[in-house]
Amino acid sequence: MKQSKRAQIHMSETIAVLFIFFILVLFGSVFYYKYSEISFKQQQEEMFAKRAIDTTTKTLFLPELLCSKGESGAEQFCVDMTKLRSAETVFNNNKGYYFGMFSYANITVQQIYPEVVDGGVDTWIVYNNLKPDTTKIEPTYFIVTLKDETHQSEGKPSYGFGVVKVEVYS
Amino acid sequence: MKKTKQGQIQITFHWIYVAIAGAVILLFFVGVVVKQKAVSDEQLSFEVIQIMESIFTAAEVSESTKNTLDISGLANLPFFFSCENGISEFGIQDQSSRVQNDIDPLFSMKTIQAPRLVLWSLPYKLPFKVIDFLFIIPSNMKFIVLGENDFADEFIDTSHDDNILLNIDVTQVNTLSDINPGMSSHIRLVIFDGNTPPNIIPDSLLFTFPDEKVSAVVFRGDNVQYYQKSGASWIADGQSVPLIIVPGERQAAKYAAVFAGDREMYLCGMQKAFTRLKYLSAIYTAKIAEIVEHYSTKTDTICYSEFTSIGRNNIQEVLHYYSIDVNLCNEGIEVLQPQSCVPLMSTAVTLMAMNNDMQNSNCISVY
Repeated sequence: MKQSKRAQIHMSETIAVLFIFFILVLFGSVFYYKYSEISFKQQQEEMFAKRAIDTTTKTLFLPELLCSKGESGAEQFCVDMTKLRSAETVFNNNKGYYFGMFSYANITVQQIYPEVVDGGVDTWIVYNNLKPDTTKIEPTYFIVTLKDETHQSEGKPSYGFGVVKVEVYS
Repeated sequence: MKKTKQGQIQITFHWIYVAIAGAVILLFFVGVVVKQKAVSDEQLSFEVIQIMESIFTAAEVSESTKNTLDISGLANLPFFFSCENGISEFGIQDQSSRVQNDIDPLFSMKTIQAPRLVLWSLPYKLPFKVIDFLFIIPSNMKFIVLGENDFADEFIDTSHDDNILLNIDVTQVNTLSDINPGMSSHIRLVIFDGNTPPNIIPDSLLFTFPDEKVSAVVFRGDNVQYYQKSGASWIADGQSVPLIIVPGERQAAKYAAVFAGDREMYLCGMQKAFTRLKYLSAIYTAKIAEIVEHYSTKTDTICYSEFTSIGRNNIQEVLHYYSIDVNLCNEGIEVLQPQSCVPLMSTAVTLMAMNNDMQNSNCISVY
């Protein structure tokens, strides 16, 4: 009887040790899962921020939009209006190619100066590919010069300025 | 006595049980650590590749610049670069993380293991700017120039930089016996004279290098031919490739030929450029239509009579033929027939000449 009782105590001890062990393993697993989840979300955020920077960088140096001066280098942060007016059509017709460059994003150029008279166009959509289940939008703004050679004054192209808005969807 | 024996057995079983349980627990944690190490390695390679991609993007758009990238912390990791069917890929060898890109042309050796990289961006113009080429040059690579011509001089001149971190190791020699590979891990011969592979044999110094670490690129007129060392001889890498260029300095297509790992990588990078050119020519077609419309109300100007009026040597017609050649080039290069791009050169030169005339006449130019 005495021996059986001792065995029972032994058994209870073993069960208690196993229980505590599994509790600790469970606790560790939950902690690790939560840590991984947070780390994954953080990584997603970082990748999204990186994509936003990359998309903005690529937009600002697009040969499809940049002003040029013959054989000399492109004029930095300058949008050629004669190119811009046709860009939307070309980008739309070749969405597959430009998706590889911009992914899900919306890129617009808005003319700020000179002010557009009523009824005139002051915003051009360069690229628009909205993500259906978007959860986050990261907008970036950049001021650029707008050069229009078909609106000349005294034989020189007219210059204005505008804002390039790059919205990246997550 | 019987009771003591039972106790002994019980204690033995108890310790066996403890040992087995301990071993299982230990094994479990060893498994977790091993798994975690693999995950960490993969994570690290993913982060490294992602960061490098961003650095490459920034370096590429910074037109005509050289940047240095210190990767001494990753010097024991070999990077691979490949490009097939217009899609390039790079990553760390034997790791699953890799980045694919079907837009930006990167030119580099196929494997790189170096403490530092030089990132050099040059705009590809035909005749207007099409895209920026990015050359990825490992610091432990040596370029050996054999022969002389204008491009050889320009290449040697532009490769040298006062900032030692941006310097590319280029040496001009008269014969192959003058070569001193030093501590270089890769050797690329850039040959301009008639003394070309397979007639020249790598001497004893080059002979000691692994075959995949020694290659040659031979410029013959407007064509380029790649060779790979094979023991004491050379193997031609496919047929020669035409260089699609317009006159001018810093012809990016020539530099790309020097820095591309092989013929396939060169053609793949050029294919990306021609794909982009197709869309750019559509933009320029629309731009010219607008210019023509603009001058149609100014019929008394030279810009109308010389360049935009229908029936004359007008810019719209020139760009029309240019666009046809661009499409032909794209169709050809997709089936690895770069010769179909050769006619594009003459139409590009015509467009360039007309653009210069328009600029000189104070007219709105194409680019």
